[in-house]
Amino acid sequence: MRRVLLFAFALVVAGCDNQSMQQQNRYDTYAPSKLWPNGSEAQPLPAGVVAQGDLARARNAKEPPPVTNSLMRTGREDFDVFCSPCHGLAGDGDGMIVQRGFPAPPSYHTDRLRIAPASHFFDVITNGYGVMYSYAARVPPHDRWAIVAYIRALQESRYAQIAGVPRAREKMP
Amino acid sequence: MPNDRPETPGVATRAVLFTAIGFLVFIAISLVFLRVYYSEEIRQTIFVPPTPFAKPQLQTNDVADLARLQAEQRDKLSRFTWVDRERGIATIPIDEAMNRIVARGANAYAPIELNISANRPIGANGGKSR
Repeated sequence: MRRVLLFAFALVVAGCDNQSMQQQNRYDTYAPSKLWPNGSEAQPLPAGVVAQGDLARARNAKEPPPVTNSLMRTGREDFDVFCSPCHGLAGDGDGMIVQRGFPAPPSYHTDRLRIAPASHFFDVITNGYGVMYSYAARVPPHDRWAIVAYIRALQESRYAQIAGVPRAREKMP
Repeated sequence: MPNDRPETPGVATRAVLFTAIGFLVFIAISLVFLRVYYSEEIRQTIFVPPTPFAKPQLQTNDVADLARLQAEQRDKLSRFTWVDRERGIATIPIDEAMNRIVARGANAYAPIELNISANRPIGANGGKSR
């Protein structure tokens, strides 16, 4: 009889507690709180606070790095990763996302974008444009400039004066 | 001395039994009625063939589709093609173009010279070599 009672007691005790660790002595996200004057658990950043590295990023955004082979390779890699899904690998605005119905971005090879200043491309990557959202959080300023340099290479490749290309006429079809 | 006689049931067994039997009889009569009714009313089998409709526009092989598209675009970036032969304007491989932009030095970010309009009417030269 005593064992039965102990077993029943253990069963009752086990059923009383929520074992999922859902209920703990902490605040849930955006939960009300009497601890702070605004009555919320979520607190805004104090005035003047910036994220670590923000100043360096702002400085890099204003100063385009020199265009080297290394920067160009970085630009090509980043363009293929971040831009080509919509813009296409050749910059014609015909990436796979567009093939599946997303609005097509303009081609880089239009007259308007061939004469556009580099800052235009940098600003679009930073702030977005039309249905394109900002890539500021994904691509650091140095790499944004690298992408801009690679866009210039894409534009150069489409309508190039081949006078300066060695043995170009031999390679023509 | 214990009483060996069974206890008298507290429920009216006969009433419960009649109710159950009555229910079963009702079900049986209903089934027979429905069978007769349908056999009289429905002379032929009603069969509506399924209506064919357009297949959804889904990708059956997205990996192959992407590989095909990227192969086409990479091919476009790797060829020499005449745009305007008389003026010496052509499409050049991207590696060559990258070198040319690097060679521009301080002017690397500058806009590309409009040596020919991309908005020229189709057929003016058509990009075809002659």
